Amino acid sequence: MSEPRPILEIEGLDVAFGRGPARKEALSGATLSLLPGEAVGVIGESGAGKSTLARAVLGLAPVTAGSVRVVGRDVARLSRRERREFGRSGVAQYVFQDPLRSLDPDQTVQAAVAEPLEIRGELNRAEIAAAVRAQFAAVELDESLLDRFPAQLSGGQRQRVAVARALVTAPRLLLLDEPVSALDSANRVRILQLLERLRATTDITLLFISHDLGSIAGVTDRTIVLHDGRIVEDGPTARVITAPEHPYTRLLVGSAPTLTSGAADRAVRARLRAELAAAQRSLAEAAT
Amino acid sequence: MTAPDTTEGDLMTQATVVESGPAAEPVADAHPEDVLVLHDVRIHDDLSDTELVHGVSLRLGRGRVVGIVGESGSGKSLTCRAVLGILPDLIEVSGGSITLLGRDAATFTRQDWTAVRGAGVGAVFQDPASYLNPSIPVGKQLREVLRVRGGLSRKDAHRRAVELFDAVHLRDPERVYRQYVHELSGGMLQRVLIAIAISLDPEILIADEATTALDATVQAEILDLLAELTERLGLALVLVSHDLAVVAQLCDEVLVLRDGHVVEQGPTARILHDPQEDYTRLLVAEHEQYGLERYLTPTGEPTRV
Repeated sequence: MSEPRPILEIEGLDVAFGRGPARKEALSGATLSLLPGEAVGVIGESGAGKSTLARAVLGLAPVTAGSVRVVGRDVARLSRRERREFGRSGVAQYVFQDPLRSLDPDQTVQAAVAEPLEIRGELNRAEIAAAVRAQFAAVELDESLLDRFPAQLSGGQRQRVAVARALVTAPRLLLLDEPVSALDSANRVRILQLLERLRATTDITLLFISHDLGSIAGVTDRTIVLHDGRIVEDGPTARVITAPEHPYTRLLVGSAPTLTSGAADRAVRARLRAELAAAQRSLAEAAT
Repeated sequence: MTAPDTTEGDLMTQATVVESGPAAEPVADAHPEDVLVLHDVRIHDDLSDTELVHGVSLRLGRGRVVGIVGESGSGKSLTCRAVLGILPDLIEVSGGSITLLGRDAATFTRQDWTAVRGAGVGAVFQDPASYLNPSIPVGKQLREVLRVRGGLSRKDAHRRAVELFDAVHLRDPERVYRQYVHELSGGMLQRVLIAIAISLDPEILIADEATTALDATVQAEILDLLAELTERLGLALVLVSHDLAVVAQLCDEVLVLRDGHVVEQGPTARILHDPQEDYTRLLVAEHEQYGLERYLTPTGEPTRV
């Protein structure tokens, strides 16, 4: 065994929604692979296929071709029983943009974090309680909050509860779909720091999906660019930002608000827009 | 109420004159070029008897851009609403003064506000679709503004609406004119709203989180458009965002608001490169440590390839 086995391996993935004339290709021929310990960002605009990719990793997308292997299992083709077992194992966990929607409003946050361990059923009560407290400490939540309900916490605290719940089973893969988009600056920094710390202390693999190149730059070492349902670029984050290759990536980098760029970039952006439009025209011509 | 004194012709280069109301009261240190002056503006919620905004001061000259940065609850939107005279019920300006186009807003009657909104100060917000009627073509909605408020004939209003759509770089403006809200993308709708906001040739445009819901490339298009409008029309812009980097793109001066207090205020370059307050430092650090800036030098050039 020289090469480590990928944690996530997607090959030639096609996903389409709708039928007949309403049929729309959401992902075409997506191929990517995440090795243990990698943190990979996925960027693209709305409709580019980001959410579809996330759903495919969860085994929830109507896959028409290709495969999605999570820790060796093809999640696109699990039976109901296999899917339940896979979910219980806690090998892959998820954090979404809005923790209010992923946390049960009638469950205390302690119960919410304990639940994945209870479902897995390997630990006794005392061990679970200890694991929950340890996880709370890891995400910098005060123990006094354990008995609160999600609605009694701030948005930033809730998102840290969601992260604690995701991490309590020590997953190999953590899928983060816009995890900091709804947070204010202080909480955004806190979550990003937490992910940084997590990477330094474990070999967890992160798939970080966002529309914001800035937060992807903050935590990933590789970035995948989605455009019109296709992966148009996949490379080291530093390279993608400093030397983007695809016309869309060039425009995206040129469009990202930074503290350094200014009004002088307007002309550059106008040129990048024209280049992307030209590239898309020639692609359309080639297709016909 | 009569329509403001706008006639046919080039609305964009014509200065707006608000005719009605008492004479303008001079403001102490106001510069004649200032179109908007806020002096220690305080906003109070009468229901809970609490002050929500604790003193905001700013001066905005013709063609200048001021940025307000703050998170939800910081008071940035309340401040904008106060300038537009559209504060929610039981929330009122309880102290300080707002001088709009040389006149003290405290003296404005309802009719004065109606006249000044649109013709003196225009605004665009986060969710453009919610400001448009879904069952009427967008062009017709702009045409009605130009007809009713601008006093143009139906034919001239139509022609002007198409010109305005063209001015905000909507491709094929005649076609967009006939389209409905559901047929347009978020970026196109925001351009329609900007066209409406500038249609009566206001001196001031307020953009409150106007690019927040848009994709990054579209956000940049809208910011570029706003920058172009300030240069081309001499429009004064109040750009409000939760994101310091968005504001940094085109503002001369930045106000950092938190919990109704002005944390820090000054020229953009000074705020970015020499922030004095912890909160401002956090906003800057967020970008420098966890943003694109990690890979960029201060000039915006890549540090390595």
